Amino acid sequence: MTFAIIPLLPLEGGYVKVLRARAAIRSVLLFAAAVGLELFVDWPFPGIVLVPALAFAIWMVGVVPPRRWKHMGYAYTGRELHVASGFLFRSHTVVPVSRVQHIDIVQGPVERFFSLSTLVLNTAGSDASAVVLPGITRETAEEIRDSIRSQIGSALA
Amino acid sequence: MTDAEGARRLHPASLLIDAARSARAYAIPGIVALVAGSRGEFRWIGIALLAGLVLGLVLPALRWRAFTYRIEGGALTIEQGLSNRRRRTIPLDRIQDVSLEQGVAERILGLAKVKIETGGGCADEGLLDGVGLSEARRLRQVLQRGRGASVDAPAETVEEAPLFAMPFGRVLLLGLFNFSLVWLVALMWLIGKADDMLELDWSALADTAEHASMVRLGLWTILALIGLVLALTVIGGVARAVIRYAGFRLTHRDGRFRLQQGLFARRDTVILDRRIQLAQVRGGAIRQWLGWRALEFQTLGGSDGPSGRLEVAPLARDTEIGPILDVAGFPRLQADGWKGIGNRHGLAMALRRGAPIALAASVAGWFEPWAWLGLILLAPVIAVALLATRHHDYALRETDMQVRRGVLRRHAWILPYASVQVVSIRQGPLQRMLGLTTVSADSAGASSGPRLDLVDLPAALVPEVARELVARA
Repeated sequence: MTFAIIPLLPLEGGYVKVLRARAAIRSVLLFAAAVGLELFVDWPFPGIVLVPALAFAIWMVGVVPPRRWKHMGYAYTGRELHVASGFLFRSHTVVPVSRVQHIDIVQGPVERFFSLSTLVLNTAGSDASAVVLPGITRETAEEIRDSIRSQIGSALA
Repeated sequence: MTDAEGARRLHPASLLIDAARSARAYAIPGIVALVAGSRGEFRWIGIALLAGLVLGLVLPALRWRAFTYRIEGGALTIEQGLSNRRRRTIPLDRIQDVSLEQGVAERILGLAKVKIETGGGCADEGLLDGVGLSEARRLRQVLQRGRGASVDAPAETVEEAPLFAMPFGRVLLLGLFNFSLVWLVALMWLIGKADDMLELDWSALADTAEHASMVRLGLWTILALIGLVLALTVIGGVARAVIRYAGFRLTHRDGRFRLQQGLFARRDTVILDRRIQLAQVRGGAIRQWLGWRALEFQTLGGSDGPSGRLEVAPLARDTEIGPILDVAGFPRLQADGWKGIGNRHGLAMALRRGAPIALAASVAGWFEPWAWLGLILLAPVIAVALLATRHHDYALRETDMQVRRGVLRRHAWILPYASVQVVSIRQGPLQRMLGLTTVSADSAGASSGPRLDLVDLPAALVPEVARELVARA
C-alpha cells in the first residue's frame, strides 16, 4: 500500500459501518454538548456553535470512515503479521510470529452487531507491545490465531 | 530434595526502620492529643496517645513476627501479613535477579533490602525488607545457585577484579559535566523576590547624595550573587554525582554483571547477560568532545529503576567501553560501513525545529514588534538541524543493527536482531511531503529518551530495510 513492503489485504467492508457507528455515537455526545452551549450561553448570533458542530459531525461520520478504511490493511504471511493504518499519520507495523507472547480476540458491541472482530497480538515490546488488527471476521481472526499458536507451540516442544 | 530446618525472620533492627516509617501514624494521634489537651478534654489525650503507641510500636513488632522466609523444596517461600496472611512461593529456577539495596538507615544499621525478581516482571516479586548485610549477601549467592540450595548454606566470599570502576576524580568530573540547573532556577527566583523588595529601597535612596556609591555597591553585590550561584550550581552537581556514583564498581561473573555504587545509600544491582536487550552509548555536548561517553544497557524487566535502563559505565573512554561490551557478548560499534540517512533528514529537522520558533516569533511579533528579534534564534537552530544529516547513520549487520543519531548529544545503539520485537514504520504529514519515513525497532524494556529509530529514512529504502529487519528477527 503506502510503503510497498508487502501487498496488503483490505479490511472487511463492514468495518466502515463500524467506524461510522462509532463516529455517530461520539457525534451525538458532541451534539448534545453543542446544543447545551447554544441554549445556555448568549452568543452574538444564533447557530454559531450548532452549525460548526453539525458540520464537524457530518464530516466525522460521512467523510472520515471510508477514507480511514481505505488506508488500512493487513497481511499474514505465516511468519509475520503486517498491519497498516492511518491517513494523516500513516503506520505499518510488522510482528514476527516468534515474538508473540499472547493473543486476544476482542469484539465490542458495535463490532458484534456487524459480526466483525479485532485481533490483538501482544509482544514483549514497550511501545508497540500490543498490535491491533480490527475489522476482520471472526473466522479470519481465529485462523490467524490458530496458525500462530501452532507455530509457537512447536517452537517450545 | 533439600529441607530447611525452619523459617527465618528479618533482622530485628529492621523494626526500627519500620517503626520510623509508621511514625506518620504518630502524627494524627499527636495532633489530636495536642488539640484535646488545649481544650482540656483529657480522656481524648489518653486515647490518642494509646492509639499512637499501638500503631507506632506494637504493629511493626507484630508485622516483624509475622514475616518469615524459608528455602525448601527448591523454592523460596515468604509468609507475611497480620490480618491478610500471604504466602508467596517462588521456585528457585524462576529467580532471575537478586539485588541488594541499602538506604541511609539500612547503611547505618548494617541491614540490606533483598529484592528478588523472576523473569519478565517489572515489580519485585519477592522483597526481604531488612536482613543483616552478611545474611543478604549469603542469600543472594544461595538463591542464584538455583535448585539444591538450602537456607543455611554458607556464603562464599570471592572478590573479583572490577571490569570497570570509577575513581573519585572521575566521579567529580561527572559531577562537573552534569552541573545542576536547579540552582540557576533558584537564583532566578531569588532575583525576582529581591527585585520586589529592593524596588522600594531604590526609590527612597534616589534622593540621597550617596546614591552613586549605593549603585556601585549594588553592582558588586549582583556580581557576587551571580558568582555565588554559579559556584553553588557546580557544587550541587558535583555533590549529587558523588552521592550517586561514589565507589562505582562493575564486575562480571557467571553470566551476570554486578554493579555497586552510592555514598550514603549503597546500591548493589545484579543483571543477567541474557536479560540485556540492547546497548546504548551516550554522549553529552561537552564531554563527548573530550572523549567521554556513557554505556547503558536496556534490560528486560530491569530491577534498577522504573525504566529498565542500567548505566554500567556512567563516564568512560571508548577503550573502556569496548571490553564491557565484549564481556556482555555484544558486538562493538563498527568503525566504518555506516549508511547515511540522507540529506532530506536535515531539511526535515530544520522544518520541525524552525517552524515552532518562526510561528511563536510571528505571533508574538503581532503584539510586540520587538518579538520579531526572536527570529534570530532560527539561525543556530537551523544550523544544528541541518547538521543532523551528517550525524545520523545506520548499519544492518550480520547479527545486529547499529544506529547513530544526534548532533549535540551523540547517541549510538547496538541492537541484536534477537531483541527486535516489533518493527514499525511511520510517516507524518511533513514526512509524506518530503518522501520520508521513520522506522522503529521496538524492544523490551525501552524507556523515554531518544530512541534508536531511523528518523527520516527515504521511503524508497523502506521495503528493503523492513524486510531485512523482519527476516533476521
